[in-house]
Amino acid sequence: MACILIVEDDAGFQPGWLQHLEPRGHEIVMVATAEEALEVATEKTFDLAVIDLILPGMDGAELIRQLRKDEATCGITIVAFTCMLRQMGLGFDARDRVWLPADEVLDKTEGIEAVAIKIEALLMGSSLRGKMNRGPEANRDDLAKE
Amino acid sequence: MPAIYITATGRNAGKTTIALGLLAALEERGYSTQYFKPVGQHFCEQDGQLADSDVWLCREATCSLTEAETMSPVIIPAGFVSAYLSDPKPLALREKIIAAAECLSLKADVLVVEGTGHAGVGSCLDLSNAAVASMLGASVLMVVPGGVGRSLDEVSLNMRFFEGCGVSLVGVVVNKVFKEKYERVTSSLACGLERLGTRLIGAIPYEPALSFPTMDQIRLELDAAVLSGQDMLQNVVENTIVAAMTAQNALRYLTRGTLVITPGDRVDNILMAISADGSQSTRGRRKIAGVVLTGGLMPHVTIMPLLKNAGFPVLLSQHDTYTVSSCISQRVFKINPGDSGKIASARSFVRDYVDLDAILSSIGVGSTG
Repeated sequence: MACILIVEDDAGFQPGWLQHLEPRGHEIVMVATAEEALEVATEKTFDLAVIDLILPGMDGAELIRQLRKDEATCGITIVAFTCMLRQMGLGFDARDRVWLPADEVLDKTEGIEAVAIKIEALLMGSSLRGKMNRGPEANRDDLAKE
Repeated sequence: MPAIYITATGRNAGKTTIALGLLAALEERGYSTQYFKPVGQHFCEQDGQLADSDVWLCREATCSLTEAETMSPVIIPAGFVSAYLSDPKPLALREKIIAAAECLSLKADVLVVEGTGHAGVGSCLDLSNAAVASMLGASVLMVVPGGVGRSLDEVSLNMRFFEGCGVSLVGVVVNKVFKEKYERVTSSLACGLERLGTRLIGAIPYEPALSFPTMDQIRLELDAAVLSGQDMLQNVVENTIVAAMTAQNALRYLTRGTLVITPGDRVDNILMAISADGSQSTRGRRKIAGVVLTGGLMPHVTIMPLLKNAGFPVLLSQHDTYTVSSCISQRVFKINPGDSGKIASARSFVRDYVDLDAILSSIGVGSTG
């Protein structure tokens, strides 16, 4: 189970997130603006954040940059969620991380169900990475406990 | 061995341009050459070798396989002069230079040596240009910037310094002469130099394109991040505008190859650059060479796809607009190893405007051309 922050201002999408992620056992915190997201991110620890790029007030890319700058939130797996790039026929690669330091950019036009499956895969990947990053000593301890 | 020592009356006169041209012209005439920069102040490391930036340029331009450190035996890092003055060892530095010159001499008919600054530069290390030229037994070719009175005054001053070290002067090349004044400047200079006891052996017209920077040079200078257009960093900047005005007014200042400097939150000017670039300039060159966004201000996310689609690179600088524009306007952008167009221009300038025979006969090499 993971704690997921969803930053989505579109009321039409909000129920979809809950419908597809909550049954998988995740705790979902939903906010509608970047400002609210920054506030809640200081109060709670999240494993993953799904951030719509076009938001009222501060935009989603700026929110991601701010989360990356903060020591407390820089390690969250971040998924940017947008239809902009696809609509303009543009891709996203490592060079774009200067302005959009997200782990993944997912296409909003794919629909929430498809995106939710990708998020699940990302969560599994980050959990695996977390274990590996703990190094061989930590793994040995785990084995010893078993 | 025959050696020509290229010196100047000051910084940025065009010594390296002349050196590039001379190396090519000599090779064209069948002479093998080696470039040598005995004392360097602006150095960088490549492939584990530390050498003067001009060495890296000339080495690549001539496809030389000589060790860069041999071509650049003495470099002056920060604090070097103070350390030297507290414990001067002039012999050690001189031996380094002589040993490198001997090594290069084995590989060439003619050594093309580039000094640093005016005749006296390096005196603090007992390695003035005049002292080094004397040590190498080289004859001096002096490069002066376009002009008459000031150039003659400076040649006169520098000549005295070289004469004091027993170094002979081949003559003077005047560089960056405005085309509309070319005839007047060259004839006056020729007269004036003759009165000083030397001669004019080349007059190169001013070519602004030689000092146009690429967007990549701007990026390095500002230590800026690339937001988009990574593969267009070789765009050449011919004109710079600070778009701190409204977009409709900034439009009036756009010419071919313009660099637009604007705060990152000035969406109007960013959109102006994108739309103006859409209307292609004449002669196939784009109107916008690139954009520098200042203040570390990132544009709104909705603008980013437009920038990614634009036909120019976009840089993000953490500096404010004034600092960025001052930095670019004050900087003299030198020729880079990758600037094949500029290197070709330097070569053709020397071939077309410098009396190579006069140089060759002065250093005791017969003309084979």
